[in-house]
Amino acid sequence: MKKFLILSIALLSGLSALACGPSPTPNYYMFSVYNRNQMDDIFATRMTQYWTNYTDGKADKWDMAGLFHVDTREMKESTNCIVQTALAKNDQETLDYLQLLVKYMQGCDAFDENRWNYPTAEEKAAALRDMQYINNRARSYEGSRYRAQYALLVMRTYMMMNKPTSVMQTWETMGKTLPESVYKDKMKNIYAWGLLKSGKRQEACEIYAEQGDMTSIKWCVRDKRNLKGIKEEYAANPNSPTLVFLVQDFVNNAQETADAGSPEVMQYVEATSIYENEIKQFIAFAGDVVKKGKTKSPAMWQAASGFLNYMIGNQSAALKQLTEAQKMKGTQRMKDNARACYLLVATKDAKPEKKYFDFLKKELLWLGEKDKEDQTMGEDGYSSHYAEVINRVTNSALIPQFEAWNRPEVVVNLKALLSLYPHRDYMANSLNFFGEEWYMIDDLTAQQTIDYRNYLNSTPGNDFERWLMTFVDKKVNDNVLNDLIGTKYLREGNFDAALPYLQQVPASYISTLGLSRYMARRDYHKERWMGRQIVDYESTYWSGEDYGPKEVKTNQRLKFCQDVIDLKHLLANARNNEEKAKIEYNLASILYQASYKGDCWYLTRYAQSAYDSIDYKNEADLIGQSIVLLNNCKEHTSDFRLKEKALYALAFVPHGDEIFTYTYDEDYNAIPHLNRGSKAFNAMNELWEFYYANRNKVSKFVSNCDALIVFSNLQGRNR
Amino acid sequence: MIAEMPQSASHIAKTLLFIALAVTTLFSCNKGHQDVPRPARSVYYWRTVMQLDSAERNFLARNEVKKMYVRYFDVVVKDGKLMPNATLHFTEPMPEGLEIVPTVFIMGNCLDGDTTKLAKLLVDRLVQMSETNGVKGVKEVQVDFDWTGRTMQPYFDLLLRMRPLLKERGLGLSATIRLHQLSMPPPPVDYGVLMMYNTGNAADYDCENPILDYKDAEPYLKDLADYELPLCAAYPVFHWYLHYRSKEFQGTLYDVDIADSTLFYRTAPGKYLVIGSRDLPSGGSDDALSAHIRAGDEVVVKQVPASTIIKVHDKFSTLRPGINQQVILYDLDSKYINNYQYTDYEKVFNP
Repeated sequence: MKKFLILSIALLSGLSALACGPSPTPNYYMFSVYNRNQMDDIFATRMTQYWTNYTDGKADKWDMAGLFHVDTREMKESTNCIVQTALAKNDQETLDYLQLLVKYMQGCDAFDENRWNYPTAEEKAAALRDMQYINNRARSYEGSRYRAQYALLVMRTYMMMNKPTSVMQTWETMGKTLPESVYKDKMKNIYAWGLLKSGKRQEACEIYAEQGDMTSIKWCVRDKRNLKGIKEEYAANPNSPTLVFLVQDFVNNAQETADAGSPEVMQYVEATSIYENEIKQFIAFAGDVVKKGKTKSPAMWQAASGFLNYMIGNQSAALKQLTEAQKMKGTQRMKDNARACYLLVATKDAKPEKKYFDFLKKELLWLGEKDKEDQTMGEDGYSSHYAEVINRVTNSALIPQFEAWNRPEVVVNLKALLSLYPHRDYMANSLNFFGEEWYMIDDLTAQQTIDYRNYLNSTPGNDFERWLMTFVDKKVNDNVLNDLIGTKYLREGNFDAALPYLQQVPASYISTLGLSRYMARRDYHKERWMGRQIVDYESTYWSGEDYGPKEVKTNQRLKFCQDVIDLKHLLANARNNEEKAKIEYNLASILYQASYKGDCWYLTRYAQSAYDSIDYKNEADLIGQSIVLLNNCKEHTSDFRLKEKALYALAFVPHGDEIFTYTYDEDYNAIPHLNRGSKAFNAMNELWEFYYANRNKVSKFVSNCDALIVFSNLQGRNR
Repeated sequence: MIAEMPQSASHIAKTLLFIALAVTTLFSCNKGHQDVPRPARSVYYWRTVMQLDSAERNFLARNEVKKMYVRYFDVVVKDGKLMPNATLHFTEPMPEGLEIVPTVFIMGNCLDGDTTKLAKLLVDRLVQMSETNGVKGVKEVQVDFDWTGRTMQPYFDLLLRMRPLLKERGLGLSATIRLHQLSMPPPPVDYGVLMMYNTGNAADYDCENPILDYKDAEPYLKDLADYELPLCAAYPVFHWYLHYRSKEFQGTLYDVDIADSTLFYRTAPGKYLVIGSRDLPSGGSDDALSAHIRAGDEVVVKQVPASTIIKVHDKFSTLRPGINQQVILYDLDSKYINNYQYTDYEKVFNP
């Protein structure tokens, strides 16, 4: 079983403060009847495998590419591990082949026209002679071990010499009788080039389609990618491999069209109906194809029809056809495709009952197994089609469904499933990684998180939910959950409720979080309006300094929570206005620091960005509370310095409106104007009045305040 | 003691530029506008494979085209180096009876770094390509570069370095001139080709015709009469399929079948709504030429009406007599040929 990531990624691996918003929901294609794993680099990987085996696992694709640099006159001096292995084995037959292969690779370079020293006619002729030489040598090979490789060299050199007829003849006389191998497949691909150059497009396309050569197929059938083209291809050959590409392309494009669902399309009812008509006509045509029985792949046609029926709202027809398709003739891939599509269709209108939950678990498990099979055929980090199906079904069907059934805890676990499909393992160490599942957790209120915790500790009543539970990372332990709940309570302004949770969170746990980098270097007692506490200087980016977590000695969240509780208690019991005012100022200051605008945002959240606002549904307005306290402070105090600080703070903090508006002169210089009547204006005006009344007594932070200077100038008075 | 002053190539080039400008100025003051050398009905050939179909050959013959400006390659920055790109691949000899003008297009960011070696590389390559592929009777080469105030100096330096290298081989030098460049000093070349296209901004959905709109061009034409370089004119005969998403420009579509009614729905003359999503392959492996269209996108077809081209053509003759002695059409392609009538071509080619 793969290692499950979910919450641990966000919480334990150094959550970055440089987070971005959640990414858009991916709309992966559901319909896939050929293995697109064959699409990219369809031959190179398999060719490399020969040399990897030959060198006992030492050679990789870079060594193969590196053959280009081998000096064929000094093979013995080569550091290339393939050549070295052949030398060590004293394998002359391989050395001979390598020598010719290297000559071919180097010879190809002479045909590259995008270099400064454009070849002369003589050089071109020499390059052709070299190719002919390689061709002759390859054709004269009489052994058996490298027969396929030499035959491929013959075809390659003919292709470089632009001899499509010779290419085709070589295939007919040498290539097609060879045993199956990657070299034979590559030869067939070159044969398709010969066909294409000779005007036999249909035959060429069929080979490209059969081999899954996506780039070539797309180009070849570029004018066939609609029902008319599909009908033409079918008429020419009901079992043309091109149809596999064209049918899949048609269904995928239809799905994406529905996903786009733009209002512009809907404005033109006729346009929408044209597309829908095309789909309906395809369904009718696919029905005919299946009925006539000329196709060897009715499973593909029936599944295409079924999925398209689902898209245009014919649910029962879709289910029927997708069920039938699974039993019809076709490749296993086609039958699997029908089964995967059936899952998505079946989620619609499903009821929350045991039968459905059992079905879900069975099908998702099956997709997981298919995904594993698929991965073994691909390269590292490859995202299989089946992983994308799980993602699509979960995102577009299951999550909305369980939300509608008011099961947020199941939704969280479904999000956990998404952390695996498609695979994200390679991102696990990324500091900037911010998984979807994290946003899910972040959106839960403190109470919902408590409910989720209780759910995790329970045994759900159905097998599907119990299975989903296995996707929750074991690292989601008490520390994680206590910290989450405590922090959410802080964010909700419920400090008394937060305290018992935060008391259980050790500083050692906080030290593993990315935000500890900030916690270790900032002090929430410092007033934000008196200066920023900068952690990430621009120079830090270039210093190579580690952006990871830093060790903290105490849990500042707990200390902050206790401070707020204490200050609130003191405020409630203050004996006089002056005492009240001092407490109000201190409380306002630390609440502001803990807000999303404060330097100590980490007290109430796990990340911060310039786009933050109060968007969490139970979030307390800490800035608003701070403003109320500052206003009370300035009213309660008769201490000049305290009043000055309160007024200054009030002029500093955001009030939800702008003090300045701007227009631009003809040179695009911004011209500020006062937004009279705004709360921000009133706050600044009060500071300004205070300043004028006490201009010889005010502190430097007031007299040097640049915003106040601009304000003063706009008010038209000289200082 | 006289201190030795290091003379940079740039300094020398500036001096040469000054001389060249002075000579050009004197020349024009004394003699008025010169004709371009060997004026003839001309076309641009701007593809990556040299292969003419029968429609194109017929077009050349019927319209008595005698000169073809052929893009040989582009210069781009690749991995930090200046490199040739999209080199023309010759699959057949050049048509008989045409003077070929090898042309190189230099991308905008290519002159930001050291270009001291570029002149020789360009000249050698243009000449070698002609030799290798049997292009006979080449008399000049042309450089196409959209210079601005910032890049004018390095560009003119480059041209000045090219001139003696070309002269050694008995070749002349011409350059393209864009409208906005009319107010700047002319480049040190034998003559310029005033490109009467791309006058508007294709990225602006509301731009009536970004290929050529007289009202967009008009403000620049005040400098046309006094522009101190022999000029001929190039007029657009191509069309564009401009792809927009919510009026945001996505790119130009190539090889698109706008007549495919299952994909495009005509909403107004020249405007099509994309009704199905699809990725469109490019002709080769160049991803930059491939595109993904989505349902709801819009494709706007832009083509300049013949009447506009003729109006601009006639206006040019008034503003600068002789400029239409040589007309170049941009560009020769069978898919554009039927955009206009034979009589339209006659009017445009006519001086």
